[in-house]
Amino acid sequence: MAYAFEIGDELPDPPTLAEVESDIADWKARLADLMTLLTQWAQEIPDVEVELGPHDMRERKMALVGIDTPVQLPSLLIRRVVEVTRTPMPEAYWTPYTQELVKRREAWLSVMPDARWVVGTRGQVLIRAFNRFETVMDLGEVGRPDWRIFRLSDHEFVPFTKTLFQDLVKALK
Amino acid sequence: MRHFTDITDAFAVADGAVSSKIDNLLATTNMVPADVAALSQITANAYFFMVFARFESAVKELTKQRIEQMRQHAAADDARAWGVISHDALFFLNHVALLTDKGGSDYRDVQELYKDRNAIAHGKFAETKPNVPVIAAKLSGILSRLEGIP
Repeated sequence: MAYAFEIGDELPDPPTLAEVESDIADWKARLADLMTLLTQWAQEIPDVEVELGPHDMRERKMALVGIDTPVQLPSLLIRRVVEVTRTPMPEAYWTPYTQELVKRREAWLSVMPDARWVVGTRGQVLIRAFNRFETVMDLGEVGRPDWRIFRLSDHEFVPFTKTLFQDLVKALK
Repeated sequence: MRHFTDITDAFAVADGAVSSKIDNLLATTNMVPADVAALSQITANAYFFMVFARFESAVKELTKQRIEQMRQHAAADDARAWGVISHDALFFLNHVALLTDKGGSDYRDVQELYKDRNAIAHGKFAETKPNVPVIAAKLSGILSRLEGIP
């Protein structure tokens, strides 16, 4: 039950199915573009593999208009070989092709949609790596996405550039 | 966002702690229970509410000064109208309307955020998760413009 204590004190208007479906379609498109861009950027770095994966979208606004099955969105898993150790094997085990044991250790970084409906942004994506996470938010307008991250040290919203993203991948260890 | 940097800094610490907790759970169990996921929702709502509360208080201080000023310096006819306006009896959005045009984008932005603030004030969560730094930046910009009124 809501009491209107003041003018403008009402709770928000309920969303319509058409609005929500159109929002979801637009969100999927923006995410597809973003993932393509990030894949390109990541593949410029050596020893990197990029996997596209699924991600289920389940937000309250969907349930409010009767959408009760999750929508599938794209997500990325970026793996980078960060350490290679070579141990020589005893001669008895040598083959014409292998004389040493090679171990490759990988670190990963994932890019996953966080939420479409956020107060203040047109949607956000979460970049996660071990002990590191960044929220990339679309602060643009309809038809003109503007992906940014919040840099706490100077309280600024900086554009999410190739350099910034590649630095995140290169920092994996 | 100069008016709210201490709150957004505090939020960064809280949000960081929640994210670490979620990270640790994902690393060991591969799933996040609903009550842990809710932590993120709660911190975002709480700090948003605090940012808005400070905004409200700053706006009301500005209107107090403006009403006082107008009572003393307005022409006779207008001064009577200002004398009738009771600062404490005004609805919050009318405080805002005293300082900026009702049709303008600043007023509309405050009106939108006010709806979310009210959902929290009524014991619910904002319809959608608030992005605290973005909202703090927006309200800080608006407050700066409201302060600019002579």
